[in-house]
Amino acid sequence: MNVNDRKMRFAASILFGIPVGILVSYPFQLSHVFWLFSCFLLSSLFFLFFNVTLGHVQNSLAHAELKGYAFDSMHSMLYLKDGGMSTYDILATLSKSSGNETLKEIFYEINSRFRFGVGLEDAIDTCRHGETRKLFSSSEGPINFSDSTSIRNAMQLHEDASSSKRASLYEAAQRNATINMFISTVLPSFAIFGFVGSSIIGKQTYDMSLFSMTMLIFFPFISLAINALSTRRSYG
Amino acid sequence: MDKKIQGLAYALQSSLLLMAILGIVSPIFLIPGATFLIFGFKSKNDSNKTILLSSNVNYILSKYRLGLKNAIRSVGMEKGQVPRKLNDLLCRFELGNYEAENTVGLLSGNIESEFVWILSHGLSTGRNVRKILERFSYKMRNHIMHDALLLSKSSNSNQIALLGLVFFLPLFGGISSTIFGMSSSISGTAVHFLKWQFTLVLLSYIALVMSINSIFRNPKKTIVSSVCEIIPMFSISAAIMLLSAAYMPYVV
Repeated sequence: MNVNDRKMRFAASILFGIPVGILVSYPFQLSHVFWLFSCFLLSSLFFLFFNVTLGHVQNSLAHAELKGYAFDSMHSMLYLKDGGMSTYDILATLSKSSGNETLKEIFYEINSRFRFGVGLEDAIDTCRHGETRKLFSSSEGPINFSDSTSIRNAMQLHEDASSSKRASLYEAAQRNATINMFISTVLPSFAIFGFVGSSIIGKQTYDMSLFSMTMLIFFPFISLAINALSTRRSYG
Repeated sequence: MDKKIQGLAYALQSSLLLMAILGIVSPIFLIPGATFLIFGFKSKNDSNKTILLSSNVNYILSKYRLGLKNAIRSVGMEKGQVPRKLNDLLCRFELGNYEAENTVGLLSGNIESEFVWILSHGLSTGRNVRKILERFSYKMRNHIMHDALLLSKSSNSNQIALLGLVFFLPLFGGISSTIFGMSSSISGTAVHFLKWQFTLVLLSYIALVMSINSIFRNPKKTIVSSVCEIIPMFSISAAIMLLSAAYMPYVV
């Protein structure tokens, strides 16, 4: 997780937390200490939620993207391999020609290990604490880079998997649209009409605290959770 | 008794004054909203995905030609030879149909760069690249077809949710807040002091949910830029809510 992202999430939490804290604590007519406390509490809550949800989504997205790049680079790998190029030269070429900077670094690291006598499979296994092996593995297991057929099969499997995933994402998009509409418009409208209707018909004066807490804490957190779940399903 | 009537008169006067000020001020919110809507927000560096509107082939061609520049120079190929090879290639990729149907396609930058790299390498060394590039046709077709469907679906769902947040919810909120602007409800309970607080809470809710949606729609973007994206839509919803809250009492 990037440090700058964390700073941004911290700033965003304060940005969300302070006004929400003031709006929620205002109807209670408590002292300013409680206002500060509620602002602090809500900022921490938002920070926690952003880190858990957005952080997870961003990590999943970065991993999925890097895996896509890794499988894309296998076209060049296969092409060079079929041309009879040596493994060292292939890795050296890929560390320069690959479209992604992180992947370039990974190929460079594998190449430098390979140059010092480590076997290719071992170099991949040990690179970046095993994260590289996860990148270069299909649903049937790790890819054997010495065998061109294994690489072809892995590419085919990856393409089939991503194609079926895209089809299921299309279904998920329809489901998410309904949920998103429900949380953004239907549910708050019911809350508004419920609050207004009860204040017209009811005999007691309603304070705003319950309404503010529902609208500014309960519903946004539901929205946050639903968004995080649906986005994680898309990229994870 | 007189003091009570005087107090009520003051409250009425001040609320009318506030409504008048808000009524004058709220159309100002429409100006940035309309400006951003007309001119639009465009991300300068959208490296994740490149949206190609009915120009897939032209886009690939331009990239392909750029990638081939060095290869052509090194091999010493005649200029006339390149288009013929390109035509063969495009027939194999069957991309012409997509252009004709005006399909919205998405291609990640990496597929194109791999494609151009292998092609230029093959041409410069004289190797046969047909076999390896046949894999691309399957992959590219898949990407274009599914991503176009996904893009249309997800953008539709976003627009529907946005319609609710920008139009319906502010309108409901504005109308509802009118009830709180009354001096008393049906049962005789005084509720008028809650009106603007109610409006403020609803506006904050809209801003919060809009920013959360915006942040999760583009997780790769920074939070600040995602939050800034909501300004046009939020200013429109604020204008609708404040206008309806300010003028609804006169209509009723």
